[in-house]
Amino acid sequence: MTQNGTSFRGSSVRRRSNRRGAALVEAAFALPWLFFLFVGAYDWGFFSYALLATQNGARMAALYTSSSTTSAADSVGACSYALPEFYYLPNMGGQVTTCGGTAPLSVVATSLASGADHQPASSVTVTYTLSGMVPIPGLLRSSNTISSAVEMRVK
Amino acid sequence: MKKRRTNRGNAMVEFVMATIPTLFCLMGVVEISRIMYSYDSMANAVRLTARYAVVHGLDCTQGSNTCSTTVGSIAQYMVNAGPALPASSISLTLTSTSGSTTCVLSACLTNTTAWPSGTSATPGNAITVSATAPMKTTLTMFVPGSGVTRFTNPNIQASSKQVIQF
Repeated sequence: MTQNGTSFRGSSVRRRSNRRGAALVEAAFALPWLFFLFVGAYDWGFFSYALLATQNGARMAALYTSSSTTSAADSVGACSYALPEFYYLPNMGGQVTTCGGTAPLSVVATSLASGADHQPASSVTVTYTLSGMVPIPGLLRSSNTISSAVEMRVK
Repeated sequence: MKKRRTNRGNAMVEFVMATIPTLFCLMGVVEISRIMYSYDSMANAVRLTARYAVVHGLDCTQGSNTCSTTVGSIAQYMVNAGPALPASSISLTLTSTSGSTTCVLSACLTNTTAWPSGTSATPGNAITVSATAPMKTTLTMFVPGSGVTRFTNPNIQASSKQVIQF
């Protein structure tokens, strides 16, 4: 240990092993952020798809309810017209065939005597609850509720 | 000299180890985006096609103007509504109150059968247009057990139910 060369080599080896440890610690610090970023993008993608599906579903339901005075307040019928728009959402698919109750989707149609243009109209409100793919307490909610309302003049 | 060479190898191995999962993630994002785009354009085409059908019902005919639609004219509308759709691999199903008919979109074009036929075209009746297309994607070959050379085709489907208006 009195020789310079030995002492130098020894410290050099120690430093290298330290640096390797630091890289591992740095990776451990960075990975959760990358993971949360990925999970956030993933959930956000589903959320924006659910938003579009809810809007499309409400429009399709309103096209049906506004087709006649008898269908203007037909919530059950409106549900069957809104459902196809939700096919690819994770908690919908083929297994949900009715709205309301415990289903993540509710469709409510009401008949309005006087709509925006003072003519009979039908109003449809579609409310959908999307389950988060990867809920993180305090960061990402386990479910999001989206609501969309469409009013159309009855033919 | 020996030591330095070893270090350089480490960096390359580490780079490869980090690049492979990164590339997989990148390819996954691109592939899923491609599938989502295909699904969205097909869903829009299906919605527009159903809308075309429901405004061409029995009550649409006025004077000498006739609105009767056939499987072929419905299919032609869908081809025009979604020009990027693979017409030769899309399976189109048209359902009215008098039953349903299924054909490949490109083959539907020459089908002159009236649809929705007879009284099923009366306003107030519901019709459903649905389409199914296989998606070729390289993603499936990374599914464990599928084997590296197998390309399965997951299907994307879109359907639209509407009520005949005119």
